[in-house]
Amino acid sequence: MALLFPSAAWASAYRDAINENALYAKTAASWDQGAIALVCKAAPALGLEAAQAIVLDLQHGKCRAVEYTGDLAVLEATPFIIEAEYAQWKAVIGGELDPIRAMLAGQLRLAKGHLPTIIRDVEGSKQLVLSARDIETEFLG
Amino acid sequence: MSGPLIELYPGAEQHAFAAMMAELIRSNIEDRPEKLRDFRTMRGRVALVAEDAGATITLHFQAGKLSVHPGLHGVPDVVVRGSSESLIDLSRIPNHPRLPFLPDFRSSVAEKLGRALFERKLRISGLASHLALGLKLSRVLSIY
Repeated sequence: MALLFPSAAWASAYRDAINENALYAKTAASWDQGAIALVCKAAPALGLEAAQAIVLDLQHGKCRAVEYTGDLAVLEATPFIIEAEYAQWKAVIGGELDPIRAMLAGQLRLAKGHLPTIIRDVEGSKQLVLSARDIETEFLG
Repeated sequence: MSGPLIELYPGAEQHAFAAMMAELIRSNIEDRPEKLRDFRTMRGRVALVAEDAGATITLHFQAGKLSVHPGLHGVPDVVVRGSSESLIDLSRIPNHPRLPFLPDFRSSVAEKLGRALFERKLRISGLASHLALGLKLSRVLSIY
């Protein structure tokens, strides 16, 4: 069954997909920098009235927990935030947009966090995003 | 000791690639102040072209000052063209374990870049005549 992006059910499936991604486990084995939040900006035209965040608690190549929230105050305690418009997340999840290319083109933005740390772990970050492609996803609009 | 002077040329603030490279170099120097020695002696223009992202920037090093321009600005001394991933990989080459002023060409990232060069997915021009600038660039871009 396809899961709606973004939603709590999709976020839970994403946690499972990350934990089933052997390449993520390998490339992010040394990650000990804490949580990464993926923020989808509001898209009122699609019915997404407010920005939503998927906060991933990551440690050594595993996703220990996930939180799906519209309360962006949660992000104050999150060391890394990657944000994008709905259309860009859709393209990345759908496999039409490479996440690294999207970063350089400004379609995905590191809104918070130490850039060299993300670059050091860029293979892991890429696998993290690519894990989402394993979820059968239904999109708004 | 004063920090590096890195400025985004007007218009570059909205240019993700320009902002990202300015932030990367600033962070690298803050994390490893020994890179300032290279930064202060760098003179020249380096164009970085992320072909798949359709993004070009020019890094204009002026002995302690860096201006980051969107697009091509002036005549670059060194031009690096490649995929977004290759350009990011340039900053992931570790230093040589015994000769830290050189990149570790035996590292997995260097081998990956070597393949990209061989396959012409990464192209660097002007390096032979601006070797010092190229080596210093590799050190200030490096996250290590």
